[in-house]
Amino acid sequence: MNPLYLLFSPLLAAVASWLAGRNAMAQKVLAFASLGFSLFVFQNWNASGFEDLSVSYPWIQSFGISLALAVNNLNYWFLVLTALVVFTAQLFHSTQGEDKVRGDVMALIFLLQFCLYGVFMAQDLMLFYFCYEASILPIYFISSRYGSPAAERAILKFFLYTLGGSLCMLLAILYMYNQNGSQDFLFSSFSSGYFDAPVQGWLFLAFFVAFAIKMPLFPFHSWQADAYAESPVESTMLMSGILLKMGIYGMMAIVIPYFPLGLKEYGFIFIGLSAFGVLYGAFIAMVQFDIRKVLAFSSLSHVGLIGTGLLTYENVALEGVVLQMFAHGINIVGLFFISEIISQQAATRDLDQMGGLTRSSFTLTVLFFVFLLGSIAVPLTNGFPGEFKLIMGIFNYNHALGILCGSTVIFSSVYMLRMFQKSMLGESNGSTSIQAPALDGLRVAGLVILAGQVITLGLFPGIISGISDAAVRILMLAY
Amino acid sequence: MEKILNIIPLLPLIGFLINGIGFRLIPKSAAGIIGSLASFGAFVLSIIAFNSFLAGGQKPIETIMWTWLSSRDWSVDFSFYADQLTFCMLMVVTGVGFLIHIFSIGYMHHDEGFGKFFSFLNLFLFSMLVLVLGGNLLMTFIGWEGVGLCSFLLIGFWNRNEAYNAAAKKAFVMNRIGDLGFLIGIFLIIFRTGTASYSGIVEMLGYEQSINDPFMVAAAICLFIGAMGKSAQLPLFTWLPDAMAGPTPVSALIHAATMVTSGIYLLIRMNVLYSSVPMVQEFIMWIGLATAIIGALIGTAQNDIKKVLAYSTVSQLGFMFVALGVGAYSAALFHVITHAFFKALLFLGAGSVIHGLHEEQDIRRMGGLRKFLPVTYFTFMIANLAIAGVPPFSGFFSKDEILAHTFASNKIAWVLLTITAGITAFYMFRLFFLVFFREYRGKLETSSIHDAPASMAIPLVILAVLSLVGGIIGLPEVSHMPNYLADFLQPVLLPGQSMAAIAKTAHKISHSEEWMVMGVSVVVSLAGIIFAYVTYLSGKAVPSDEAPVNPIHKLVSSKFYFDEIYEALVLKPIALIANLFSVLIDLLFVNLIVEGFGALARFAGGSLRLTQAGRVSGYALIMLISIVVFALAFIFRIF
Repeated sequence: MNPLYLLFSPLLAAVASWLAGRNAMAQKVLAFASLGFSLFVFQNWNASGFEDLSVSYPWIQSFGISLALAVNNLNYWFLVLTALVVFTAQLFHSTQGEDKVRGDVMALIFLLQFCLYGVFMAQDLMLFYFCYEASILPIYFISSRYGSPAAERAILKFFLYTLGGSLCMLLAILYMYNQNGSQDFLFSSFSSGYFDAPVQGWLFLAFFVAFAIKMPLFPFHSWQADAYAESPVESTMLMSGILLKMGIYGMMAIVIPYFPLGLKEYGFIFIGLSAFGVLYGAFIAMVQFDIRKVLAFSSLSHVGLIGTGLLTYENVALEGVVLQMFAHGINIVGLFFISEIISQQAATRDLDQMGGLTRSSFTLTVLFFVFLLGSIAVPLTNGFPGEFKLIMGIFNYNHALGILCGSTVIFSSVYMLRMFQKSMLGESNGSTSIQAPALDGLRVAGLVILAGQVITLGLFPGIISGISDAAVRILMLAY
Repeated sequence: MEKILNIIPLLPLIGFLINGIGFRLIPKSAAGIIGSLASFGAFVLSIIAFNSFLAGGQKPIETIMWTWLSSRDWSVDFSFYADQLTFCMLMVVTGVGFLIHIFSIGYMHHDEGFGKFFSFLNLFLFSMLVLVLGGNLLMTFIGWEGVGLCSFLLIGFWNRNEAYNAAAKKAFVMNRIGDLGFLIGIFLIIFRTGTASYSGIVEMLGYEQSINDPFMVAAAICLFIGAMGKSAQLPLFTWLPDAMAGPTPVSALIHAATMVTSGIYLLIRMNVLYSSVPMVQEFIMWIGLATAIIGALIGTAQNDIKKVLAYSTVSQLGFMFVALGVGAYSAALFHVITHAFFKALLFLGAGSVIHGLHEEQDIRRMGGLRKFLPVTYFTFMIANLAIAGVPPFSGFFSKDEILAHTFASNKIAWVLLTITAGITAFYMFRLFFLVFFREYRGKLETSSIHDAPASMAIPLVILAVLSLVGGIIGLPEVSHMPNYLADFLQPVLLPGQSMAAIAKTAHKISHSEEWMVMGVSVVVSLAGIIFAYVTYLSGKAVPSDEAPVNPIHKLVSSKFYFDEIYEALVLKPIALIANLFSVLIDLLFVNLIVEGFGALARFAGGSLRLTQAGRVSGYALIMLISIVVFALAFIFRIF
């Protein structure tokens, strides 16, 4: 099936949901329908073995920009995760009670999905860049319109920050275009040996900064905590679940294949910084009292591990990257979803003022705990295979660094259990029971499906790596 | 046959799911039966599997279900593996596990979380079975983390209590420190052998035959760190006494009989590795010895009945590691088995006492209980004699085998270990006399004190019989009877033995030496008992409620300040760094730089004014303009 259908389906849905406005029922149907369509397409592609899935149409011919799309072993799971995260965010939004459902939020999320599909499928640097840039806008609008009073400032910081990073990337892309004899932006026009080592170094830095800000890797992270904490949870879920995956994808689709020499030259600096970020995020998460910030810094730590693994350019670590980026997407979205229910229930985000919520909702406790287990990478959850491979790869690259990063095994359990115990266990602080809008049947169903993936992918990580490992083999040929 | 193996862990898993999902709906009576049936089923299937294993000429069985994790250079299957060692562990885990399930029906009867308790207990059993059945290091790791998780859930079972929650977290985190070591050990093994499966590792390492190879030393130490965490060895032992916050059957099952012995299981499983690194073996022996001594010493000054038993567990685990350290794998397993019987019995007996006294745990408020709790008294006595090493109780034989091997390997260690055995006899009988003899010192109406109901009494009696006769499986050589356990385990230990022969660490004990070791250990044990008798029974001493003044006594009763030292050396610095990161660097440094750029931008371009006017779309515009400007710039070849 032509990738164009997938690309434009969210656009169609965006229009529909904008028209549907505050009709919660219609929004739910749209969210499900869109997910259904995406999953149908993915299944179709998977069955076809990714044969003949690249298309190219001229777009802005005078500049040599084309609408080149492809689906392959590398971007497949990014696309699937996009559909899942977008759906979960929409599920949250459309089930929060009739009066709170907004057509524009739903439409913006669909628009974001459109951009993300574009980013992940693009085979043209300029198209990639357009989608990459455009993806900030929906988040910006959702957060600044519906976030807390502090959100506007936080999200502006995010906006400016990524804009700055993207500028570097744009300059690099233009340079590449300039050097390219065929005067186009197609990925296929460049190869790993296309540029000399010093040039690769500069290009590596330019792209890396853009992607590192997006992920974010230490020390490019200072926009993260506030943006995650102050935004409406839908946009936090999207930012943490899928937006940052653009950075990871960019590293795998562009940086490693085209600038391997740059990676060799400068990678080690960022490996060090990023590995430091693993501990840094974990340590800060241990002393946060805002439940969202605990999760934000946990994400910094987890993504730091992914980033470190990526940069080591070890085969097993790169395999782990795909596993872990998918697992992280599922787990963090589940955790933010539940943390929002909890903090709405307790009427605070302050962990010290929560407690005893396990007695008010058994289902919520179990779901929370499953995502937590995934997040701390207990075996037979989705977090384990990826983390195992990442730490193994990093350990193989440098033993000391491996042990350092491996200590996330210890620290993640510290901050996650602290969060769980403070919010769910202990004596109750007045909050009695979780009422209907907070946890209705549809939400439970959605979360159970997500939690089911935590276990399923823990038991059968081969579902993911069976497809993605082939892409990693190709990446390993770049150097 | 292979099918049976796969079903064994499945039964407790099903029990967990039924009780876990429906614990609000299923009535108490049914929940207990479901949980117990699941464990009983696993026990019966283990026996059936064991019988067909024996009938099939004791060939190890490996069942591969699917490829779990794979990479370019290696792959790990989801597989089970059963040999002699596995079956020993299977019998203990399912057998003792089942008895403790039965006991819990009576013990937890009044608890509101009855169904939840049984679901967790079943989940634990599942994890433990995966641990011992796992066909490769990673499968064992699944069980390893699984039992740690269940331990967390069960220690913090009464989760309203913050102190219990803290104990649960401490146990999990300390275990995870060990788990990191385990993980890195797995990496090293995979790097060297290209496999994680036990059959593969034995095959690959059997060829290597180099002694104290640095790579293998590192791998052995890493795996041992894992064992240290799980089996509460110095310095990672402080979680185990705190773990007594959990319900007493949990302490019996998880923190005495099964989970804490998994470190020993792992090292026996990897005997080919450990026998090739005598350097690490010696290290293990000293760690085990230090743990045995410190645990026993602290045990002499504890007044909480469960805490005494907890430190005694720490100390007994130390004995087992000494055995591993001197290459006496079969002796270590023997002690694992007898310890499972008598320590489970001790804990269940303690549970019965606590139950009978309506939650009283302080031995200073007990006394004279043999009149009120006859069944508990009688069974507790058997367990006590077993742990004290009095012949012919089971503990005597297993401890004696460890002492004999230690004697052959290292005389100083033997002396210290023998003294520790004496201290063990002392503190156990101190406990025994204070609890069951003399007059009752508590405040309860003696008529309200009741002995164990049938569901609790039956497991006590069965375990008492096992504690009494359990020694028969490993009679010493001087008895001219076969040591069934050692003979049975021979195929598992063969690779380690041939490695030890190369490393020249294999040792042989003469009969006269063995008699001597045995004689000394009996005398020392009796001395310990007599000392306890003189002090606490005829001497009428009762530990005082006041803080000790004698500095040595103070040191011991404050548990050598381990918790305080960790607090000062590890926890405080980490908290400090965390706060430093959080406040100083993140808020001031990193943010300031970024905000500084922001301010610069504001100064230069005034672009922020757009948003302050509330016109967010301005940003989109700026972005678009800049893209166009740059696009035009290069099209006209400006740069």
